[in-house]
Amino acid sequence: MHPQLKTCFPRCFFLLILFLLCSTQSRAGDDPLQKSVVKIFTTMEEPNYYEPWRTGTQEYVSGSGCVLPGNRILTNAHVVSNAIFIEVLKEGDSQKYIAKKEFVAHDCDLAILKVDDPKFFEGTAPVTFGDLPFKRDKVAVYGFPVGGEEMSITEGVVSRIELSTYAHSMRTLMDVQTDAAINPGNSGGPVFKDKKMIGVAFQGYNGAVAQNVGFFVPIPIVKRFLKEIKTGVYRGIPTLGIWQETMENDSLRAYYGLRPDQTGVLVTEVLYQSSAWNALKVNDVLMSIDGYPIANDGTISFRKGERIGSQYPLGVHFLGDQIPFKILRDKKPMTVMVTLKEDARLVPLIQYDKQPTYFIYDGLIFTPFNSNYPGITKDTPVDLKALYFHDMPSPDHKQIILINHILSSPINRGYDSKFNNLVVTRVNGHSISDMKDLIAAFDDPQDGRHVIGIDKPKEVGTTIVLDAVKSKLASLEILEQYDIPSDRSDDLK
Amino acid sequence: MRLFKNKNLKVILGLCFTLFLSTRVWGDDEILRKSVVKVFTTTQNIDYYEPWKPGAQIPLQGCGTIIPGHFILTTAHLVNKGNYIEVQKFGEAKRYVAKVEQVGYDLDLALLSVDDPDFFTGTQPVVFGDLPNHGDKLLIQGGDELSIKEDSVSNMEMVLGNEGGRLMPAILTDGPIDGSNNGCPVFSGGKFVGIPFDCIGKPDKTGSIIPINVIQRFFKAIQGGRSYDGLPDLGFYTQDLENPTLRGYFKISPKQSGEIITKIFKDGSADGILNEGDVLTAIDGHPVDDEGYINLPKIGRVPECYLATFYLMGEKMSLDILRDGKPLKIQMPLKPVSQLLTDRQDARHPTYFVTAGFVFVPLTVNYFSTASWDSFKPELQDIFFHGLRSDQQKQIILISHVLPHEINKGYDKLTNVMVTKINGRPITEMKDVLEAFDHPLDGFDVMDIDDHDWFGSTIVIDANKVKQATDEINQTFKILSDRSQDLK
Repeated sequence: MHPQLKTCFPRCFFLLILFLLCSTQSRAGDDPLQKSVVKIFTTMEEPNYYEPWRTGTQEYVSGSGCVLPGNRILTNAHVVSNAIFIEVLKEGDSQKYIAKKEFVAHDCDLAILKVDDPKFFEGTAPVTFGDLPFKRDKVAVYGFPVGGEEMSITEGVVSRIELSTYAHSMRTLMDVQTDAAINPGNSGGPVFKDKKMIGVAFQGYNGAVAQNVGFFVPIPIVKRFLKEIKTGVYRGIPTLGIWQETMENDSLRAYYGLRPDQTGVLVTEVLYQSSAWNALKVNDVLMSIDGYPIANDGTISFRKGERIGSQYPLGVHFLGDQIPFKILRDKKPMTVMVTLKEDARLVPLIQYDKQPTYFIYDGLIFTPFNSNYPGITKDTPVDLKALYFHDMPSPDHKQIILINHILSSPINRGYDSKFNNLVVTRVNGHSISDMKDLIAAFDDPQDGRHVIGIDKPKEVGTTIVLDAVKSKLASLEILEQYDIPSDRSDDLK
Repeated sequence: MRLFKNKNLKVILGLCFTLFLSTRVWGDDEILRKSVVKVFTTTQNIDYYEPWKPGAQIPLQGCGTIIPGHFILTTAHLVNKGNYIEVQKFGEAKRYVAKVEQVGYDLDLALLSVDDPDFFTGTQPVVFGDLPNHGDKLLIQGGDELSIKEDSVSNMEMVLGNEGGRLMPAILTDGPIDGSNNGCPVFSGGKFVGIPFDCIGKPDKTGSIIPINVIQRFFKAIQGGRSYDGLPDLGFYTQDLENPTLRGYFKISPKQSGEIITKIFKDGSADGILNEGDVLTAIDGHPVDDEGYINLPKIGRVPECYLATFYLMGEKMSLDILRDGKPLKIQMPLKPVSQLLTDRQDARHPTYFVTAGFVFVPLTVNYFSTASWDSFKPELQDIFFHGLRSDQQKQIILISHVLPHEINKGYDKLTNVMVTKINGRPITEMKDVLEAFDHPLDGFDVMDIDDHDWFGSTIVIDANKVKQATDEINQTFKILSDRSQDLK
């Protein structure tokens, strides 16, 4: 029951309220670990996915961080996402210093900041790294959560180690659960065991759902991040790009040719251009990944007596790495090498620090459908929800292009708000696989008209037709009238 | 989103209505005494999740109206699932046994008869009136105590009936109607003009009434003892033609108005008669405007689907269309609605088949009442709103849930998953399921399901163990029959 791309139904959304309240009890000022902890102040500007040429509203947040060797600060990506201004404050100081993002890893929710003024690091002590803890190991969480201004330290034990969803990216990676209080403001702060840093506090439950459940990014993920940025660029954590089915039923295993002593999971879908594309096939049985035998329930043995989801090894590898799979294909055993690539799903996961992609033509605002837009909420139309959870990429279907909404004007008269959030199927007879196709298709009108295919016959209709002769002038007028600086986002220029 | 009754609303309506109470009305007391009867039924809830279980019994009470020919007219939902029906005259203690002669679920109407001829002694059938006009005063029979309320006609609308789940014409009243679903008659000028009913999509603080012309259409359908065969449906979707360039593209002149036909339902009335891309300009000689409405004398502006309500199944409707810019007159025989999800009609015996603990059911509108709306996957929600039939898909067949047993180990958490194939055979409707299980593949029963974003895509069980396992499971879960009556 751990499909690679397990989609998170709304239950995930209340799951992760980031940042934390403290049960305080600061220890005396001579604790050397306190010298490693900093407070981070961020001014962020959320992008506006409804009117993508506008910037969103500004928000002020604070989080925590720790000092790493080499005068760097480690924190969570969500503490500095969409940031336009960042300041840091060390414990026992009153002066804030300006910091800048050096590396941001949204997938594992980690970021590195640098401070230009070397004075900042005077009197700080970089952390030293420990190892992945075991259950019931005592841990201490340092940071600046709500409840006061001074540094807070909370203590608890490791409750659980497994794969779960990182709320910031919706990626499934290893995290560690602790009963040490982790509250808003703790985000990005270090977690220590025996005075060694073993993780970065990052998320918890809303108190109405569960108490004493906090999570931190464990040290293997942190170390992987630090190793990758040594190359000078962060590219991300690979995914396999398959959907899989557990094989707990004896007949199911027999049907696919597994002997009673063999175990594995069934590949039910392979995503176009993913790592598994051209390497694994539907109906392959995956028997081991990267040397770890896969059990019928989709877990692997991780440490003695501990099991973890079979996608765990992907979380410690890099893009371009090759990992071996033992598989059964048409009942024949074989070993397949898979070159790891980035995530290839049709509707991209939430993106940060990016201007939304858009293109305006005759007042119709076209945008690719992604997880930021229009927000997969209760109000999202069911047909879009179904696409979000179910649709697959293919060579002629690399993005879902939507009519976001329409800027009313004489040329698009009659196409009202009913036409919001419609999927574009064709333009001027061309199938639309991505934004590039869309823009190109508008250069090829049919008999002086632009014919746009949509597919909502019950509520709206199937066709939008626009006057191609009047288009150019009308488009300019609309941009001017609505005070829009450009008809397209920078990435399409 | 759910097509079910809003209980809170009813309470509010009840409060509002005391304002309209008035007990003194001209000879109406007399009409009511002689032409209105109480109807007592016991209905049985239906368990769509465990369809082999008999549901709980609920006693219901409402009204009936005596119509010429010794019949009683009431609402369908009152007697729909009714096991036993009794009627009682006003001011009398004796109850008579009644039986259902005809039911029109989509119109929410039912006709009852009483075997004992004594029952009709002293009664007086109502006189059918005309469709009331805007502003006309209505006398609405409300509640159990034969109390009378007044209200006035606001307008005529197409609304979604709560019982039938179909669009149908309704008179909307200025105020809400108390006890709006108990089948009591509405009078205007001393004549019978309608029956209140529950619907979806009407504005708050209004009441809805099945108008007399719809009631007369019901009688027309059952004339001469024919069984009621339902409302026909146009069988297409249309798009508004407001944009001048769009109109030019579909070759419609500026003076004309109409709608583009964008989707023709498989096996529906328009299938093989109209084409997608045709422009519908008039129905029965009434011009269709650019928003899909027609203007009828006395009734006003109503959606284009209004007129089809008054046609009998198989009758021809006259349509004016433009095909490639050329005007054409078309006679279209009307057929039943062609839906992928069947209506909530005839809900008495839900269809099911249980084998090896897998519970197979067709997805119906009613089925969505088994769990909260949000618990259905977006694909199923999408089908609820947009699903259309095709050759490959006459019904959606679900594995509703799995009754755990060793044979289905590993699959027992499955719920509400679509089945696409069984043993390599495409599943287009329920009978395909039964047939496919007769043809196992090499000793396995192999089911393809559309659930790969959650559980997976394949279920395999040992075909040789199915019979014994099914017997054991059915015994454990007290399932008397492995399939519903209609599949035997």
